[in-house]
Amino acid sequence: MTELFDVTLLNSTIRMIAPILLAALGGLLCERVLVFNIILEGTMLIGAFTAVAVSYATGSSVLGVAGAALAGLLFSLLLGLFVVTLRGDAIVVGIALNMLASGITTFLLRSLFGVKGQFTSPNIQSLSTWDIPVIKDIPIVGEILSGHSWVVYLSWLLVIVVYIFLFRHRAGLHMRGVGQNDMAASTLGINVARIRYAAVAVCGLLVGIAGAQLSLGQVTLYVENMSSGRGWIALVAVMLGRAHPVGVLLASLLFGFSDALGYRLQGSSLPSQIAVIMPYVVTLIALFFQQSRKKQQV
Amino acid sequence: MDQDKLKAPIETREHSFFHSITKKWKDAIPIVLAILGGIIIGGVMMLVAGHNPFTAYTALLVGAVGEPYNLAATLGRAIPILGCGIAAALAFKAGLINIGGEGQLVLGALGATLVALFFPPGWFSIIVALLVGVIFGGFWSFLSGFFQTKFRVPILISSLLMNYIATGFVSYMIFAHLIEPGGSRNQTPLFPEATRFAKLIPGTTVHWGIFVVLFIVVIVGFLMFRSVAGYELRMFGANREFAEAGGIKPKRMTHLVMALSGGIVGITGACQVLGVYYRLIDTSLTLPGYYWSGAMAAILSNNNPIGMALASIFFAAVQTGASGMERATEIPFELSYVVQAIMILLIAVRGFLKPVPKETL
Repeated sequence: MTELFDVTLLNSTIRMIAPILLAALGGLLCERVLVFNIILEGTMLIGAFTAVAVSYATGSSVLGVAGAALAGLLFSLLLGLFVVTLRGDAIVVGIALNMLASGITTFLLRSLFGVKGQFTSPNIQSLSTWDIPVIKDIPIVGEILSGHSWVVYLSWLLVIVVYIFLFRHRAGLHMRGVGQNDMAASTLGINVARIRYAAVAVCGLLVGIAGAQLSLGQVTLYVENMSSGRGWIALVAVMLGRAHPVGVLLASLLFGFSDALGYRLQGSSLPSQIAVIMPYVVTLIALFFQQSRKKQQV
Repeated sequence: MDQDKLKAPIETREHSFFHSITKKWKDAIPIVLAILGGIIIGGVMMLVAGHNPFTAYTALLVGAVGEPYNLAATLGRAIPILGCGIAAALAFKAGLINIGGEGQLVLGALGATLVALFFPPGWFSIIVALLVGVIFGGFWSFLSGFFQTKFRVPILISSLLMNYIATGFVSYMIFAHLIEPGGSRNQTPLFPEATRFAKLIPGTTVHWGIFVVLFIVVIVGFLMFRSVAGYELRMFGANREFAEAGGIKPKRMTHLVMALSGGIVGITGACQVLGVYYRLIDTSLTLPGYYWSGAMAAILSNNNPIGMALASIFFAAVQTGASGMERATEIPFELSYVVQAIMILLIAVRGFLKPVPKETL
């Protein structure tokens, strides 16, 4: 067991947290304004694909992230259009949009790059990594915390930003107001639909960046449906963290760790097919505890 | 999926024995519009990609139904979609969002595979294989329902997460215990010839399992619309509080419907391995997205069994047609999934098109 829990494991945990954390931060904004967003999965996939495509075309990973953010935002706005404006059932629209994301990325993978399954090329530029001064020289801690892609550090910063926005800013107050009682918020002159659109848009932006971290940070390639449930795990992180930035951070830590542990076990004690199901099992078990505790409180 | 609480009485009246034919046709209008919308948007995408949509759609039509072989391919593809679709419709109608079909499908197939490989060959083993398929798929789905009633974990989330667990497990079972010796793919050996469904049309994927699936569609249709249990199920889905006040036990209903829905998906997976591949091949049941197409067929038809059957065949036709289109025009096959998703998006907003009814009750 001592070999299992070493610095590399913690280092990869930090990397694995980022996409789930970013997506969950987006998801919590939607949760706060009562938009049931189950398209985190599809949005992440769109982001992952766009990041690779733009990075390949321009040779710039920064533009790749920007493209992913924009694509995520636009895709997420579709949820706003169909659910907020056209009043479609959030679950039906969500299922359809996830299918759309999966279909369109595969379609584009084949029409743009002429490949099936996965796309890799030396022209795809991966995210640059940062060595944090001072911290990087501390033994162990430096190895764990330093040398990650800049999106990883951005995700930590965003936890603080989202917290300040939600609890210290006027627009955040409006957002929470819409979530608690949209009728009352509307009576006070808050444009409920506009707040919802804003939340959905920012959510899409964050989830798009999460996708970029998947395809340009973790690896440097695109694989069909590579989000593989991480959007759903992020949704669970929102539930576990009760739509609070700090809670969401803690939940993401757990899932990032189980993700990293799963990959780690692949190499050693467990067959790879069993190791990959690890994060989903942990997610389910975490839900059992949290949801039953909620029941007792009621 | 109807969340409008006041809708319950209308829902039941809509499907009463005497409801008028004209009402039925009116219900079909948004469906036709959604399909047309999907076709038009798909055409625009082809134009953008630099293809002639008319040539492409002609190729799609020929690929779907143009030749006897293509027609058979469409029918063969419709079998699993149909089975998954009726299972989805059953759960959706009860307001239970079972989106864990992929896991139930592979587990059902695994159950059938175990029987087919280790039981003495013969028709008896086929029956046992189908039953074990039901049990495997049904149990997995029941668990998801149980997690909701026991731990309040939404079925929507648990069933989806459990897809990954089931597919990983089945993949492992093949790899570690059932793999064909000396083979290079992750697949089991072929089943004995006596433990296979005969082909209905030789040289195609249409096999006798189609009758198993059709039988289930008819039974579920009757159950849903001509039985007390079905009335309770629809009531449960339309207005849960009303149903509970009427004496329906929510836990039992949830467990039962989820087990039944998953069982049907399981038997569909069993039919697929017994009738098409004659072995369990890793990812062969998940890659074609059978359950998702079935769920979409259920949504498109508003969970009506007859409409669902038509929608399943339609989606199967679009998919096999798209393969033909890909061969003829090099437009990727996956366009069919995009078009399907657009149709569901359009049908999802039908409530917006409909004027608010004058009488609510």
